[in-house]
Amino acid sequence: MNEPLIEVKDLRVEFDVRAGIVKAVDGLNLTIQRGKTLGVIGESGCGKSMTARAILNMIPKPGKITQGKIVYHRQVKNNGDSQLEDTLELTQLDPNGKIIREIRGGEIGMIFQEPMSSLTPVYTSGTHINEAVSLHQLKAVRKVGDQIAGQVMANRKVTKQEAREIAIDMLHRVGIPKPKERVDSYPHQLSGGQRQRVMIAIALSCEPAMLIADEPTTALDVSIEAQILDIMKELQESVNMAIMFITHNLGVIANMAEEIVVMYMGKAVEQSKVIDLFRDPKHPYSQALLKSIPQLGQKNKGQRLASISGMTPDPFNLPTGCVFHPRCPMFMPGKCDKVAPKWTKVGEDHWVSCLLYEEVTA
Amino acid sequence: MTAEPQVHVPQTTARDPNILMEVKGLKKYFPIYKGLLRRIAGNVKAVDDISFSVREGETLGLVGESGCGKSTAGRSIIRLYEPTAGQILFKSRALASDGDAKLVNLLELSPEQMKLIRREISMVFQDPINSLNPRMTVSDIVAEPMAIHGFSMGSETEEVIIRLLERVGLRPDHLRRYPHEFSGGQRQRIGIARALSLNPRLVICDEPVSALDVSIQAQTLNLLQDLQQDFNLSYIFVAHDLSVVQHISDRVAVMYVGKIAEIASAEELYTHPLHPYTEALLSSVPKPDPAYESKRIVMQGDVADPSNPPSGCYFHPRCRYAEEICKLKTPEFRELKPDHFVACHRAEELTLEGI
Repeated sequence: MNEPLIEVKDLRVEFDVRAGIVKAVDGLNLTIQRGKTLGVIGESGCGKSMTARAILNMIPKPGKITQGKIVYHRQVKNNGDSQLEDTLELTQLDPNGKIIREIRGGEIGMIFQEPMSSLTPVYTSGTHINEAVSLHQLKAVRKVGDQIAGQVMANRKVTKQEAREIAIDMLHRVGIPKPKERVDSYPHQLSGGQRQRVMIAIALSCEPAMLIADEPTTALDVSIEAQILDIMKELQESVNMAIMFITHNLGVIANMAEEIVVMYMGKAVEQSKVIDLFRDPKHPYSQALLKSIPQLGQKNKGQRLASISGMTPDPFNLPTGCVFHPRCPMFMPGKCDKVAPKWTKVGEDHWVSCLLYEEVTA
Repeated sequence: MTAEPQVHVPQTTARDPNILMEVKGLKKYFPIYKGLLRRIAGNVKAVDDISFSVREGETLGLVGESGCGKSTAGRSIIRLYEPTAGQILFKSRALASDGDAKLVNLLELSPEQMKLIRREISMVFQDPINSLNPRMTVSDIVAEPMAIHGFSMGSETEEVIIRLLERVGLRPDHLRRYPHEFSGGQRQRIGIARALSLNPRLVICDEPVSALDVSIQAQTLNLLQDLQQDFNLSYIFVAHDLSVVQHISDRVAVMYVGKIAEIASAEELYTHPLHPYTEALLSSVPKPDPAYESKRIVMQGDVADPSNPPSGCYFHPRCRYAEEICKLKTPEFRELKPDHFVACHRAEELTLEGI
């Protein structure tokens, strides 16, 4: 049943800046299955977005992939129906080469959080914008229909007219009213929710094998968020697409994902089926994260939230041993601050990186 | 044009002596200028005739989708935006001559009197990066309100500031540092310390935790609750996150396109909503439980345009219970159950589901 699409093995992404080296991703392993949704949760700076960018081989400078592999099981359509499988190592590809550019957008689509960041005033015409990034953001001066059509034509052999029809169809599928008129709208004429839906339409217009959704609904209201999540689920079923869903919203992830990875300071601390993580979280960080959100429907006025003490550590000066130990309520002196925990199996498809569980199994 | 809706003011003052602030028929319109002569072509009705009250020591949550006017309402209350119409009655101690609190209408006060009121009502902003001056140290930021209001600037001030910083969970050695040296959560603590520096009685919190990570959000919410108890503060808590609002609020007002759709105690509103918009909003919140079967009510379309709102009830194009009357008449904002106000024609007959 499970068929791996992307395997990330021992990935490390480092940023060499003046103040030192930041390990944005440090020894991460994860597998994304075809047609399934993998949720990645964690607080800001935990490396979840960098992992997504590493998969598309578009780490911003001065970041570098210094270790590890990303294996992509590519299906190449051969004369229409019969499919060949080809295994590619994404980190080895030239970031500006032909193959990775076919994959980006064509086979692996991406949706970012901010639907209109191309309006950032720092991008003047003279600035060199990373093409890979600009492909995935709405341009303010082009009609949305043309932007979808452009994406389709870059990846499929279709005529201009056909591409426009696909664009109208995609706008219709993501639930934009009057798609035949909206296809000639500019991004500023759309609301935030509609822009985000156009982004999804662009990302899905080439029926990618995988969609990377980086906080796709964070900037949206709950009512629009509900619409977008429904659309994503529907489209996932119709084209058997895998989704890597990055968020810090535990409510959204519970609805969307089959499997979850919890990240903290560039490392995966726990991975399990969605139900196991919410019912029986093992890592103290996952437990604390679940307890720290106010739950709707619980009459808890006057009660305090269980918060995680302290702050995320300075990335230039990470704690020794387990990186979570200074904030951990289960801290074991002499162990957690000395020994780095290993990736330990604690149940079926349930892995955790914590010394508490190494004891038990050892 | 629809008929001018009646201003229905809940008569809470008479029976409840604990009212700290009462807002009656507050309106804030932003004019839209057009053409060379900057003729007024229309109005964005950001806040359109809202009434509510805040009791002493309680937290009133103000929720709604973006653009519903909740932040504008918060800012109009301390006249950061000059309201177009309405009354804001506030039980002021600063303006009272004989020590006892005096009821004043903030909209009738002179700038000098308003300055005194701003000692009693302060504000915490959403964005902890842009709301702190990057060129001022923490001690300058927290001391600024005291300097403006002419309190002593000697060594005593520094002691007061240190006590404040410690109270919000910062260390005295943070005093000489600049905002960029702090994390988002710490910056929000600085903003809170600044808001408390003049011993206010009412703090308007405009999305104070929405820019923060969940673990930091929990710390900040706990801090706000502790401070409320210690200083007997009242909060107006503006936010879009329904679970956060439920957690912190005693009463909650739901806003839609400049109007209050429903207002009730937090428990009542979340369990027995009377307005279809509240019901749909509650059902849309993703629950952090994978086994939960979603009974999501998907609202069609987008939030109405406040410069050109629909006729009748503003929510009717998205409402699944809408009938003919909803298109024609603006619903009256009325008290259907004790302390539970709603603006919906069909509120009596509908049975809506809460959480």
